[in-house]
Amino acid sequence: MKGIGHFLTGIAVASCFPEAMRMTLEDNSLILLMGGAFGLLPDTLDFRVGRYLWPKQHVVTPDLKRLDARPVAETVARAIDEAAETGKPTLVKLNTLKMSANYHRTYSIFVDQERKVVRARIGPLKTMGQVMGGGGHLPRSLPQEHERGELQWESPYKANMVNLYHAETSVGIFSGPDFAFVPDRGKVRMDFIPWHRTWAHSPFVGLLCGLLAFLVYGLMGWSGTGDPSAFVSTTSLTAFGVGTLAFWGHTFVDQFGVLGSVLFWPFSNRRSGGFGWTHAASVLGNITLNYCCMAIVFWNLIVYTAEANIILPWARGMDGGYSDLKFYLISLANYLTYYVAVPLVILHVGARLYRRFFPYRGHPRIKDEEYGTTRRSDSESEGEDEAGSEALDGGSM
Amino acid sequence: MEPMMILACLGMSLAGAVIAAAASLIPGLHIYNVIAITMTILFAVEHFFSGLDPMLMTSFLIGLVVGFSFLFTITSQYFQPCDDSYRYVMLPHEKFLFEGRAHEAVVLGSIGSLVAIFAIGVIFPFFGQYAAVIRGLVRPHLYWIIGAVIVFLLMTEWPKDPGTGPTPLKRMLDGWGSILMGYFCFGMAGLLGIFIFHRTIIPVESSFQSLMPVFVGLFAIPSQLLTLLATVGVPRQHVAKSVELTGEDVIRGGASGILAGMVSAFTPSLTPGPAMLLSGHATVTGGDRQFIIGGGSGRVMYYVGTLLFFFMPGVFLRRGGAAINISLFFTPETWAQFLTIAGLIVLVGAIAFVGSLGYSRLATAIVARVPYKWLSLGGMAIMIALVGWVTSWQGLVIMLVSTCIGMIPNLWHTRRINLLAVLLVPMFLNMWGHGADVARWLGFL
Repeated sequence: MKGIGHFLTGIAVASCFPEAMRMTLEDNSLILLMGGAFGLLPDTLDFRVGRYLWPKQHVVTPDLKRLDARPVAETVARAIDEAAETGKPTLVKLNTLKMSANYHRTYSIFVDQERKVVRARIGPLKTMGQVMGGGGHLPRSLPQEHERGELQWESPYKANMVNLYHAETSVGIFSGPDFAFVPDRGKVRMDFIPWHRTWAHSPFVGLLCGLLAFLVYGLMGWSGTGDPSAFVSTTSLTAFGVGTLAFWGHTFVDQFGVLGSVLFWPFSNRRSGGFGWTHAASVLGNITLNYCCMAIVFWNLIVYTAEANIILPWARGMDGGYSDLKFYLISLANYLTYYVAVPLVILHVGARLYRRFFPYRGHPRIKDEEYGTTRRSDSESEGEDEAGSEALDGGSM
Repeated sequence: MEPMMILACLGMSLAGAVIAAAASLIPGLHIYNVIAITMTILFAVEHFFSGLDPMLMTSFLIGLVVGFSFLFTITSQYFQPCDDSYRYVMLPHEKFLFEGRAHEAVVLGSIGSLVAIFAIGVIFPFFGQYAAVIRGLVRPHLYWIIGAVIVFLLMTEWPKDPGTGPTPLKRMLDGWGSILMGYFCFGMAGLLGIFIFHRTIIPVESSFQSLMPVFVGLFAIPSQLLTLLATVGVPRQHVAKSVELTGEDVIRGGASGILAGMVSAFTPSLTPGPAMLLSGHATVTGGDRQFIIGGGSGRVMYYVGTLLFFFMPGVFLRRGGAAINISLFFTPETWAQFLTIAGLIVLVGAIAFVGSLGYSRLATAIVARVPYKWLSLGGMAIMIALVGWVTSWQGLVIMLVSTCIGMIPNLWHTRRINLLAVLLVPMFLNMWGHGADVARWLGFL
């Protein structure tokens, strides 16, 4: 999911703690903000730290002056067989080809496990906005190719592959993708951006974050009162809960995608598969998540912000306030119906109807008849892989 | 309200839009600077206007804001081409200029603006009760909401290395170099903001424009300086008769902009830039067209929509320079006034949309005949003169400091959005209740 979805998930989780809302309203506490930060932290750790620590064995950088798909395909095929022969994972890094501030030369690879070939293609010039470059106004500073090699090449490999993606991976802008080819039960599994969703997404690190939050708020309570017993208080325990659950919320939300996370680190480095219900660049998936998170936050604001004194229509005329269970549940039912279910139904039905009458306009799905696979448009496949899609402003994570 | 009065209001609005069109020829000039200068002139000849109905002056300023929000970025798009060597990322409208499609970019932005105008005209009249409720609900939470924006901005400052360094350390240094420069830029802009908020050196009589030299220095002058240093040529521009666009682009781009405008309307110090960043993430906008449409929509929703909240009974949200200046002589009271203003906005917005197409052609003609460096030089001279005139030498000093900070993103390839720490940081600290403590600790108090 996009970074904002994780950030809002963290805030939404934090807002569900009554003590956190009390601290926010009475003590000007930043605990909700802390929830957002811990919600986003796993990706921050991966993309700002983890990716740099990952070793590289096979680095592919096509020559800009002699565009040739052959070394790309051969290197990847060699890495696959090397993994099968040695029984150890092999790592491949595909570097991007930056030509100017705006233009990249793209190329792509596709691991066809049925035909046991790696296909590489030299692609078009693309702008940072993933728009095909060309026309009469390319910058003069673009490097000129002196000769041209094979623009498409297929290299065979011997190993039996497990490729869950069935998608052509486009190497476009920013930092290129990494692959790990991992021997797995007699086959070679292809892991995409293997440094992502590893230790930094594990529930164990979430616990450590909770402990850190507990420590900070415990020390603040102790120093604020001068009483050591204030170290363990409702406040510090709430901070522990917010830190841990906001982090875990990130891992949970990521499970809805294809990639999954390493759930049992430090005991296992194996990344579990996700549910595959959505992907990072999914418009409806992201909007639904963000809307639900905002709805949770707003509900808690309504319940705990007494000065706003908001009474929903179904609860009007009833005695008591949100502390009364019946009042609370009826108000919640009203809220869920009017402000959550109805807008989401309108959104999803509207989107479905739009797709029905205007199928994939602007987002072509390309049927690859030769291989019987459906290739997603670049933005979509790169959105799912998440590494190549850091957009203009920070992108998905 | 009398029909003649409504017609007079419309006339005044159109007059405001015409003034806005003239002022928009100066790239980098901000609407609030124009309003402030207009107000200075109007107050100087107050006796001439004293007999007029305040609705007329209000309509004039409404026209000014609507016209400006449609037009003021057009000249920047044409007159300030982006030189590759000073940027890591080229923005969509800058790319369109190099492809000879700047007019298309203007049309897309104007369509976005029109979407916002439509939303303002159709949704706002029914939105009043919800706006008041939301305002009451979020008011006690604004400090952490602004804090959350700051944290999100900092946490999403991303490494811009290509990942090709020979060792992990080298790669990390490559990546973190740009991140740390982004943080440095954020910190410097934040410090400047705390100083401006707590101990500005701007003369008291010009204090209503204390932010003018800051924003001119942070954003306008660096852009113009880079234009002067640029070595690229602007190709001949093609004025297309049609625009390639899908309904999905309009819906997603427009929705993103509208969301950004609404969020920034209710959150002090949150300008369209960071709000667009948040809404762009939240609604997953994709592609150049949606980006440009969202920009146009967000701009109008922020400047015009926020202003309309000021007239909304039960809300009366006084945000932005326009609302503050109007509140000096006009107190909104009735739904009739609100609906009149909303109607004026829709009418002037529709006219400004058509006008923007001609305005774009004018800019095409100008950029084909006059070297863009001369245009930027002229624009910069006018901006500096205005800052000096309105805020005296003290303003020029602040502008100089701001310019140095404003150059950081361009020279070190960081996000310009970090510069908005100049508003976000002091506002967050003040609303959190620690602004004075921090200012005192820094020696500003």
